[in-house]
Amino acid sequence: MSEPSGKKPAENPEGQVATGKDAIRAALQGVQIDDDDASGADAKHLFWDTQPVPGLSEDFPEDGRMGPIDHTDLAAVRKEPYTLPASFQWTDVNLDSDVECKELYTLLHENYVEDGDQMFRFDYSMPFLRWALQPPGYRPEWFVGVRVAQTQKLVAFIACTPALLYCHGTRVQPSQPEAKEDEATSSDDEPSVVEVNFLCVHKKLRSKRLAPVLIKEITRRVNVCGIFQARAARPRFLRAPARPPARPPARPPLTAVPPFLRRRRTRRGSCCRSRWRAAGTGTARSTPRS
Amino acid sequence: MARCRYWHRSLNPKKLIEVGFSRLAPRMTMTRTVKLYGLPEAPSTRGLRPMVAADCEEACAALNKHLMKYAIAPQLSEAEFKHWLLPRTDVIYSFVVEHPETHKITDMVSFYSLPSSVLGNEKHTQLRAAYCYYVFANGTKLLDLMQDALILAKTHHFDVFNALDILDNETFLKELKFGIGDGHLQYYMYNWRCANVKPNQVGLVLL
Repeated sequence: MSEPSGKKPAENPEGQVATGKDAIRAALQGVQIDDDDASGADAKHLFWDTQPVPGLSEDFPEDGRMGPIDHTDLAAVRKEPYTLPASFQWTDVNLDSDVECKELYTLLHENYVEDGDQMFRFDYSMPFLRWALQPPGYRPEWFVGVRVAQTQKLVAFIACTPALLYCHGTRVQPSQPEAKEDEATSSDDEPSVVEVNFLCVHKKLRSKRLAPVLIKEITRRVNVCGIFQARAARPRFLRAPARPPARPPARPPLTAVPPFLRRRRTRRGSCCRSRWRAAGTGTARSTPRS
Repeated sequence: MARCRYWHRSLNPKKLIEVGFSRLAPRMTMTRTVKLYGLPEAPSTRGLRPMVAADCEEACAALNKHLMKYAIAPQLSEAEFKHWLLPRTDVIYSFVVEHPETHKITDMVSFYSLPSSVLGNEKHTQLRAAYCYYVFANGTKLLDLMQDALILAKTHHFDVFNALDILDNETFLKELKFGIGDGHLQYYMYNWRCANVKPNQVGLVLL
């Protein structure tokens, strides 16, 4: 169980930044490290407990309480980027550039979501990344990267794309309008939410609480545009049927339950509460929430 | 706000077993396994063809209408529909059913390509996975349409076809020999409170 840190990372000692591994190691020295293996409903979430997301044990009535949790005033949104630990700098990843798109591809190819036994890792192709991240209305400043200042190596990323989303017939947006049943398909098609995806921190920078800064920064950049809601999922790498598929009763089982199907989460790089937390703390042992 | 599960349908069971994605069941030979997951050579639905730009206006309207029946779902502008659903090689595969006489678009089925690197395997480096995307079936039985989707995915050399238990997918998963996956996929909302929904009320596919 981790203790809330709340401390700002210490300044990075000078003169330690070299190249490659040394650069990364040096960069790490300025970062607060938490040994966070908190899990379960009682766990404290250093970051998520400060965010407008439903609590783990919160129950929702079937009706009546739908709507925004936090009513942020656009004018109150922070104008300046959040501060990264020393040795890192923000970058907007330009997906139109083959070079930068390849950098993102490589970061994800080498560091993104794996199954628990590290037998498979998602391999989003460059054309896929452009498809997934550049729908109509996309904003280049929502492709938030982090580089090591010294080497310019891309070591972390988070992205979001605009979307129009309806929840129980109501357009998801900051000020909840009257739910009009027949308005759904005819109302304006401005994006109402963003979909957050591709949160990834380089394997050697896990446990360094970079992910919360990435999330806060992309939230800020989205808020600045007047959007205050987001949707996300935790795309774990899942494999192998755990039960045999439907079959004629006389036949023997088709597939067994592989022993490696443990409930274990590793290095998830994306966009949900647990994954963000996992990515931010480096824990691979917390159990899935129920 | 929703807790969903992936289901997997073997298209190339031999490779899936070789890379450790799935295992040969006891008392089951490779030959029998391959036979069990065999599919017809070609789709059966008349009028099924790749979607083209000219289909988009009609298909977009039909999809939006279909999606409104779910508790949580997007609505796509035509421009967004074209972006998300017009076919792109190795990215997104979409097919429509055009009625032979009325020429109306009655159905649409789509899947996207998200391969995985196979780590530390001598024989294989990549697993080609197709993921079920948006679907509506207004003229064809959903089960038949999805069977055709499996055939098309196999034709495009995918090894496995994955689908969540969202949308109306529950109605065909078992019958089409999908196996339930390990663990859950959790959907979250940030700064939006609403009642939890069952998977079959989710009309939103996240990449």
